[in-house]
Amino acid sequence: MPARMLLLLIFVPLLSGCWDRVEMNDLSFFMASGLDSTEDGKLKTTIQIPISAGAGSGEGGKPSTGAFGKTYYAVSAIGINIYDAERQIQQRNSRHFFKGHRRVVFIGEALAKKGIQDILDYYSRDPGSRLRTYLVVAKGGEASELLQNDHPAERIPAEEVRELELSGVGTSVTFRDFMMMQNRDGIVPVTGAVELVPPMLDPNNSAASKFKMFRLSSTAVFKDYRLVGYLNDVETRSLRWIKNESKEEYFGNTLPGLSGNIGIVINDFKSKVNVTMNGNHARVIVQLLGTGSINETNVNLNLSELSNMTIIEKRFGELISQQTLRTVKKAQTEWKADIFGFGLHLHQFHYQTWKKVRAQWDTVFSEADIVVTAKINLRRSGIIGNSLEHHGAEKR
Amino acid sequence: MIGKGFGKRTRIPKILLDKPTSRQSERLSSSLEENETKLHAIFESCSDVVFRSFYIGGQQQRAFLFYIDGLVDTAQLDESLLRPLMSGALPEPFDEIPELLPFLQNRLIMISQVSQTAEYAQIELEILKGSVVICVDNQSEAIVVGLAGGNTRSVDEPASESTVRGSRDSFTEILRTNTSLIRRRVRSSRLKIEMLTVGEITRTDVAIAYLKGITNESALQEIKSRIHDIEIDVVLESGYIEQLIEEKTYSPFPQFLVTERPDYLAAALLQGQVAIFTDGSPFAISAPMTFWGFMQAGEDYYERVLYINGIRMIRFVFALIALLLPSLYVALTTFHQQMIPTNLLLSIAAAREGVPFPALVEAILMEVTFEGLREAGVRLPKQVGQAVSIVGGLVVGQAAVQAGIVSAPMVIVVSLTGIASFTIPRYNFSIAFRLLRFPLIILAGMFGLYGISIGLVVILVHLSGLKSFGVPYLFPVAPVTWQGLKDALFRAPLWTLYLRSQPVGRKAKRKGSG
Repeated sequence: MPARMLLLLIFVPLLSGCWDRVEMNDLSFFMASGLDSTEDGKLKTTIQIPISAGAGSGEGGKPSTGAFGKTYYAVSAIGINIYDAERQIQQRNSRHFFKGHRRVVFIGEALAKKGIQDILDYYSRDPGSRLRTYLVVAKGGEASELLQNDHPAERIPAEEVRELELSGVGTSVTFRDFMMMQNRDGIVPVTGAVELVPPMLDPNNSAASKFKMFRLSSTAVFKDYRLVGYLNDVETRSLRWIKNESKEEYFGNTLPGLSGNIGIVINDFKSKVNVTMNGNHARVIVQLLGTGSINETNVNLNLSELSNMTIIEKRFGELISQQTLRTVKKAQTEWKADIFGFGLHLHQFHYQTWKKVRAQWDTVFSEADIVVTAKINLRRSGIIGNSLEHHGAEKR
Repeated sequence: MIGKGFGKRTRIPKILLDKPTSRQSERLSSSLEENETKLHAIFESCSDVVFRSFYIGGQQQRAFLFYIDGLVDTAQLDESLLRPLMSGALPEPFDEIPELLPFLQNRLIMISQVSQTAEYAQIELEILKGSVVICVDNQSEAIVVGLAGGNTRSVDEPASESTVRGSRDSFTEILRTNTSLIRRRVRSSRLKIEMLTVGEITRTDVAIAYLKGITNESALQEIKSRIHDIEIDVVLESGYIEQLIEEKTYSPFPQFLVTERPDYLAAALLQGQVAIFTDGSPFAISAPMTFWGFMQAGEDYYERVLYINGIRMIRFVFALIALLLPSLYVALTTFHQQMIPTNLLLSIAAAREGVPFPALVEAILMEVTFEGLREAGVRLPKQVGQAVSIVGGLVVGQAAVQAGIVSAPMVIVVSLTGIASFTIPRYNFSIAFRLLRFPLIILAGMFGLYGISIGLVVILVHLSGLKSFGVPYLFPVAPVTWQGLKDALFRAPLWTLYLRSQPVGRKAKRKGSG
């Protein structure tokens, strides 16, 4: 038996063709890629690579840095497609590319407007890339700028963008999500859009002007693989609520019909979409449901009274439905793009109807009647009863 | 199924030096002088032999006694043997006593273990075992008095198997003490202890203990006949017996339980195992043993069930770590970087930056160093032991990392593996894991996770084919029995374990033969 086992072990190397051992210090890990289009129509690829000696924690837990005090570097090249550009980068880089840990792919705004169909092919075909990489549009700029921006907290700046996407503050879309939306009938894909903003509002603050921060607030709308426009932060919130993606949102608003303003946190979101067709005319009813609590109030109301809470709930619900309606209207009028998936709803629940309107859905959507109702349920009003100024001498 | 299909006998080496001599059948003569010369001739140049001639009862009846100094309880010899013999009153006339030797035995020798023999070979053996031999003039037989004593180690705490809860005694070098420790725990006449002598020169006593009616008869017969068949000159430790009668010499996995704890051995006996004691060794061995048995400690049955099941889980996890961690590390860092979480990957990459060796070489280097340190720690005298830990821990561990020769994660992996191998309760079993680690590291370095899976499959195939005296090594998991599973990976509450879990037990035997 031992002899037979030994024989087996000897044959294993002969049978296997799996000799792809690479030591870790011969690899350069892609942390993020940026894609831009040049003026002559070529593709500029930028890659963010950690400097291994700097990116991990160094001796004794103290951060160590690479040769230029950096923890990462960015390289870029111009080619006819991604592989051409990467080939040129590899010529400058002795370490083999390793794309399995790529966090984010930034698309420059110009390229996004031109169309990203060709890019998607590479990311879905290449086995080394992960489909769970986040796809982000560099709003109002070039992707290469975002890859060169130092972040004060993260050693690898792309990590910060990934964390932003994960944290649920805005639209977070991976390649997988994007392609699923793209291939589905009745929904138009969106991605998150990140821009660089100064950390402080005062432009003369020299310490703060040394770096910029990533801001994920907008949503980029891709119609037929082309960027057609953005939703701002409030519109993004409405979009995410309708699509049932919100986890926790903060609202700070002046309520119509009440003096003062309130701060509300909603942490339980529900939405119900109902699409009915009347001939070629669609009627969409969106019901939003939110549960949360009041954490800030400057309203002259006694919050320990249930009736006053009901007033706030009602007014806040009206505000939300107005905001949502405005968002839907924007998508209807500006882009005729059904980013909310109303068509998908029809597709899934009324397939026979859907078959009839599928071809002209964009038109049908843009002309659809939209009704939005929002029901807000505020469970708590914080740990104090009334607003402090409500008791004070200086009553307003 | 069970009890049949014993593995092939391993070859038993013949190193016979001392050919049986013609004195084997030689008998005592009635002449005291002649016997004296003969005995002196046999024990020529043996300075530790004591010869003492005396007159019985102050009469003219001459006699002598013969023993080896240091093996005999001299105080008792003087008090209970020599004194009554020399001063005891003999009836007059002396010559008319018909049977002198029985008379002496019955009236004068105040010692319980007495026998008569006429053969020189027997006498020689008895003397060597620590008996006192008395020859009387005109008698062609000798009286053998069992007075074994002398300096022996007392029953101590177990040195190599400590527990928090459980008895504190352990076996000693004296076989009788060891069997008595078992007998104290198993007060049943079913506990049989059969004696054999193995070793042409050492003539070592070997005792086979088992519980009649519980043990598997066929395994018992096989063990007995294998021990009978041993032809060897020297038996110094129970390991000799173990290696000569085990089935697979070239398996990394041990097939015998080796223990110095009487409570643990008693438990093994009660499960139907056959225990073998060897004189001169504080380690008893016992078989048939299964894979799961080696993963259990005696304490598993003393502590409460929830705690023990947690501990067992930790043990299995750490056994896997001891076997696999270095090879997994090598495979993941050199083949499957995408499987490591990104931040961990960056940390490892940073640590590996500047390390001159490939991960495979690094792993083997560190593992060999660790095994070397451990070996040094075991062999060194206690006074120098601290130096080893300082040199090993500080110099090799920390300095090697600081010098950039090995990476810090590798040091963590190796030390974790080292700790993990200590959590395996049976020392001889953990050796198997330490041994198999190395081929797995090489496989991982060559083929990544694919190599590790190949290695594990080979190990598993070997384990499934292995048998210990007819009992499948992986029993009761493969072949599976529901009753047995109550005490394999997990331990059910004691009150559910009323059936014996081992196939060597009576229940399973009935199942197997029926």
